[in-house]
Amino acid sequence: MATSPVETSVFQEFPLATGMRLMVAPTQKFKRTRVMVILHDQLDAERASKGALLPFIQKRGTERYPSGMDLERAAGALYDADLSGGVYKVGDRQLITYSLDMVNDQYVDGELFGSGLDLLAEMLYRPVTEGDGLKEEYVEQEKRFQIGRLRALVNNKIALARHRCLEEMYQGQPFAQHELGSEEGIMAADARSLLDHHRLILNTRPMDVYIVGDVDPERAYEEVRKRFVGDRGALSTVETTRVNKGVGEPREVVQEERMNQGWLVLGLKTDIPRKDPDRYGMMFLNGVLGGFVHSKLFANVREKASLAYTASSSYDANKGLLMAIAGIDVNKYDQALEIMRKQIDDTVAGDFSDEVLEATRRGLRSQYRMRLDTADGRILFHAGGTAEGAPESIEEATAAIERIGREDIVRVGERLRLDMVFFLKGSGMSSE
Amino acid sequence: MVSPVTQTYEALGQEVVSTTLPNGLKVVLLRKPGYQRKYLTFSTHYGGMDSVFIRPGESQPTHVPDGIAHFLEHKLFEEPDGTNVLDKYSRMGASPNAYTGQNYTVYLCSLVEQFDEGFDLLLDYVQNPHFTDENVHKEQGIIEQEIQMGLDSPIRMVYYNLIDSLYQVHPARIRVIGSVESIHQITKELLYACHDTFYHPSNMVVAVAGDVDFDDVLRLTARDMEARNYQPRGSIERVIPEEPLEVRQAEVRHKMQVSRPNVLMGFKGRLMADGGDQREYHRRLIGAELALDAVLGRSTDEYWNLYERSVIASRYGYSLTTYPGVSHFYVGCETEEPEAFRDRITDALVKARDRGIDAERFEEARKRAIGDVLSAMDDLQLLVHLYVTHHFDGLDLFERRELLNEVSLDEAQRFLGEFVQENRRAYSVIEPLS
Repeated sequence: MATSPVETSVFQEFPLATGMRLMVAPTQKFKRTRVMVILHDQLDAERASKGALLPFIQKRGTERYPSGMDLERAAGALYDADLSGGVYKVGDRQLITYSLDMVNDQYVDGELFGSGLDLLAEMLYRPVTEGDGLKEEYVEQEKRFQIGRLRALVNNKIALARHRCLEEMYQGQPFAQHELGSEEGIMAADARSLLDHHRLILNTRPMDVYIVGDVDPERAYEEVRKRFVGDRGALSTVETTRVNKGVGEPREVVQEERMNQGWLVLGLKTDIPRKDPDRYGMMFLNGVLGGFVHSKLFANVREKASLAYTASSSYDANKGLLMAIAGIDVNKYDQALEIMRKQIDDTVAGDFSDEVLEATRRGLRSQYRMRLDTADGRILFHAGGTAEGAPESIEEATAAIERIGREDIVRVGERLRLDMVFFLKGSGMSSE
Repeated sequence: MVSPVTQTYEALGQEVVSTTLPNGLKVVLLRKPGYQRKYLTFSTHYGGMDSVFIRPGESQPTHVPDGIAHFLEHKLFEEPDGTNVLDKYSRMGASPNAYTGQNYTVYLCSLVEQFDEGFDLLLDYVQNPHFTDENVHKEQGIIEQEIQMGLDSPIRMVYYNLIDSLYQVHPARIRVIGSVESIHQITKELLYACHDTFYHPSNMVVAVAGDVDFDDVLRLTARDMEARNYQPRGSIERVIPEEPLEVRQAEVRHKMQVSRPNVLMGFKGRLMADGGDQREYHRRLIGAELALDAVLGRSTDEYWNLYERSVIASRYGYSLTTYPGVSHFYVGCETEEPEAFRDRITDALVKARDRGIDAERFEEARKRAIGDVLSAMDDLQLLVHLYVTHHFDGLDLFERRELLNEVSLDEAQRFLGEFVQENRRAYSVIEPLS
C-alpha cells in the first residue's frame, strides 16, 4: 500500500482585524484552490431573510463589473473561476458565505491567484448601489426569485417533509425558519435595508477568510491583507446555540399532499450542545439507528419488512436534533411508525451487537477522514466548530470516536426525547 | 501477462497506470497521492438501452424486458448465503453503491480502510449472481416503489417526456428503470442470461482512484480472475435500429403538483457519420460542448436577457448526450413563461447557427472547459465516472485536455448547423395542476 504522509486539517491562523482572521491550510493534493469568506450572524427572524438575499444580489454586479454578465465573464476569463455565495443555517447561527474556486496557477498560463482574490473582494465589498441602497432592479428581482425558491420546496417531497417537521418542532423560534428565510421577511427587505445589513455584517460580525489549496501561507496572508482588511467597528458577539429536549408526549401532525407515496418523519430533540463530548455518543446512537446501511432502520424498515425504499436517520449536532425518515406506502403508516419507534427504543436500550457498534465506529471514522479530501469539508467543519465554541480538528474528532462504547450510547439515550411524529401523506394523483 | 503502462499527463497533473488481463479485463489506476479515500469501481459495458442483442455464438437476437439491467444491478447485492453486500461493506466502514445508465452499469465502493477486503468483495459479488423466483419477486416490489418515486418527480417526468418525444425507434427511448409492467416480466432465467452475456471480463473494466499502488490492484484482480477460469469470448452485437432525424412529436404537456412550470427543449442530430475515427469524433463532441457553452452559457447576452426579464426563474441548465449513431442536447429551466423561454432560446440558437458563434464567447468557453477538466481531477467519484463512460464510448478522457487546444470554431459551427433544425426539436413542459 502506498503511504503518503497523513495530512493534518489544522489551519494556520493569521489575525487580520478585530474579529477577523485568515485561516490557511496548504495542501498539494488539489488542482484547485478554494477561498471562502464566512460571516457569522445570529439566526434572527428579521435578519435571516436579508442575510440570505445578499449573496444572490451581490452576484448580480459590482462597481467594476456592473452586471451579472460582466461578473460572470470576468470569472470565465480566469479559467472557470467559480464565484459563488450562499447561506448555511448552523444551529442558531446564519453563516453567510462568499467563495472563489479557481485552478492552480501551474496548470494554466497566467497568474490567477491575485486576480481571483481581486474578483472575490470586488463582489464582497463593492456591490452596485443607487443612492443609499443597493440597486433597486436587482433587489426586487432577487426577492421574487428567492420567494420562488422557497415555494419550490413543494417540488422535493423529502425536503418538504423534513422542513415541515422541523417547523412544527421549533414553532416560534428562529431555527424553525428555512435557511433562505421567510416570504414575509423577504417581502419586508428593501434596497436600503439590505445595504445597511451588508455594512452591518461586514463591520461588526465575526468574519473568517479560509484558504485551502497549494498556496504559501505567508504569501496568502500578504495578498489577503491587501484586499480584505478595511475598517471594522465594535464586534458584536454571536451566542452559541440553545439546545433543549423539551417535555411531554410527542405531537402528531399529518399533512396531505398530492403525491403517490408518504413520508414519515420522527423528530427527536437532545439537550446536548455541540461542545459537549456526549455529542460523540449521540453520533454513535444515530449511526446505530439509521446513519448507515447496517443500521436498524435500513435493516428493519426496508430489508426485513419491505416497507420503504429509503429509511434512515440524521443527527444535527449543532442543534441537538435527530430525525428519522422513511418513504412509505400511505396504508402502512401504523406498521411503519411502530417499527421505527421500536428501533429507537432498542437503540437507546443498548440492544445491538458489538459488530454493529464497531461497524458504526469504522463508518464514522471514514466519514471524518474523507472530509480531508475536500476543501469545503475542512472549512465547514472548522467554521461550525468555531461557532459552537468547539473548534476541534478533524484529527481530534477522529480520536474521540475511538473512545465511545455501548454504555455511552445508553447514557446519551437518556438525553433524547421523541418530540414530533410528522406524516406527509400522499393523497394519490401526483399527475394527470 | 501484459506489463502495466504508466502515462503521465503533465497538463492535468495526473498519472494513469493500466493493463489488460488475458481474459480481456481492463484494469486501471488513477493515482491520487495524499487522498484518504479510495474509490474502487467494477463496471460493465451494459445498460438500460441494451434490450435487443445477439449473444456471442448465436445468430438470433435476444429480446429482454425494459429495466432488466437496473434490476440485475439491484439483485447482485444479494448474496447466495442470504447476506447483503451493502451490509458487509457498511460493517467495514465503507460505502458501496451502484448505478445504471443507458450503456453502463457501475459498481463502486468508497473506503478509507480495509482496501484488500473491500476490493475482493467488489470483484466477487459482481461476478457471483444469485437469483431465485422468490428474491426476484421481492425485488419487483422494491423497484416498483423506486418507479413511483420517479413518477412523483417533476424533474424526472419532464425528461422522460422529452426523450419520448425526441426519439422514434432508438433504444435511447427506454427508461433505465423500466416500467411497472416491464419489470414484472423479468425472471431469474432472463437475469442469468443477461449476466452471462454482459458480465464477461472482456466487456468490463476495473478502475480505481486513490493513493494506492498498481501492484496491489493488479495482484488482487489477477488472483480473483484466475480462480474463475474465464474462456475467451466473441463480441456482443447490439441491435440498434437507425433513428430518423425527425422527432417523434414536437411537443408534450403534462400536469403535476409543481410550484411553476418546468420546461425542457431538446434537439437531435448526428455528430458524425458512422465508422469515423474516434479521436475525430471526440473532437466534434468537444466542439459541440463549446458551442453550447458559447451560445447558452451563463456569460451570454441571451441568458442574462432572459434572467433579467425573469423568464428564467431557476434550475437553468443544458446538456449534451451521445448514443451510438445519434445524439441530442437539451436546455431547460423552471419558468413562469415556458413558451417565451422556448422561443427565445430557439432564436438564440438559430442566430448563432446562421450568423456565427461569437468568437470571444467561444474562447471563453474553451477556458472554462479547461478549468472544468482540472476540477474533475479533484473529485475521485467524478473522475472515475468520466473515465469509465468515456472508455465505453471508445474515447480517452485524458485526450480531452489536448483536444481542447485543437478544437476550432468551425467544428462548433458545424454542430449547430446539424442539430438546430425545426423538425429536430421537441419541447416538454410540466404545468401546475389547475
